[in-house]
Amino acid sequence: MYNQIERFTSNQITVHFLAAMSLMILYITGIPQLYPEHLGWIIDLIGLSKVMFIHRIAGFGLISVAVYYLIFSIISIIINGRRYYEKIIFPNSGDILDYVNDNLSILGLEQQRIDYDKYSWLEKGLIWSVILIDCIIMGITGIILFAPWTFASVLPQSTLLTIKIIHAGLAIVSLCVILPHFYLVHLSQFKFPMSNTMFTGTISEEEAQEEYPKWYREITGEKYD
Amino acid sequence: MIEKIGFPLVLFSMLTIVLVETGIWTSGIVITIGLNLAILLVLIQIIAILYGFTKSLTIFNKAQRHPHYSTARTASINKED
Repeated sequence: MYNQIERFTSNQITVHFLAAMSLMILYITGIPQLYPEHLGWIIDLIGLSKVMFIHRIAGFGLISVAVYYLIFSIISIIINGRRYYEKIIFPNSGDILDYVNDNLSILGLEQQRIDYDKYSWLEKGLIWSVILIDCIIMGITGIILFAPWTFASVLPQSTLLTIKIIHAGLAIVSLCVILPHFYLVHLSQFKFPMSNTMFTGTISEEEAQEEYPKWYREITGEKYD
Repeated sequence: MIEKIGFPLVLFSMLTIVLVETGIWTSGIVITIGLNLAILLVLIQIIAILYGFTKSLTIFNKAQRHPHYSTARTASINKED
């Protein structure tokens, strides 16, 4: 039996749960509005007005979670300093090297070298795509589309139409980012049927050693071979 | 088996989304299947998230109600580790 290492705090687990639930509900209620000819059965089942209402509630939920986590992060930076965020969350030169190496290894041009820190380039990419696309761009465009008549005096109709196209287009980009995440945490042969790390907040020592060797060495003080 | 077909399934649904969004291929049974598959994957994710979160809460609740549970003991075990 391997020891468990703490990977996520209870705060991160709760934020992930709420943000993920809001996002999934946004997809289920938003995508059918985009493609009624293919997914019209969802609108028929729930009703258009209810679908639109649930979509707005879920959007409000996602924005609330984003605002909460932003405030939490600012307070955390003030109290604990910027080091954690600079080292763990922001992409660095090591992530670019890992990205290039992973792609070359997929093409068979180089041997794969897994030496990820606490979060790999893929996980950092995912979290930044959620922050930039889902929370900031979709949030702002969503607020405008929530009550377009209030912005009609400030924004011309062509701009409002462009915002609608941006909102719909980026929803598709967002879904295309989440689907590979679904594969990695559910359908991948190492994780099937699901990875429990995001719920228990812990990871086995063996898994940490294999998947995040750099982070493992750092927390255990193990020397590099 | 699902592990083996998981990657093609996700790739297929993503491909149909890209095809329909770019306007290359916007109708037909293949696109309908691909889009419905994407929604199905999202629905499975909702079930998985609810299941995982409920399970972790149950474990946490059970651990706290165990007669040997104490925060001081947990802290001392963590310190030993």
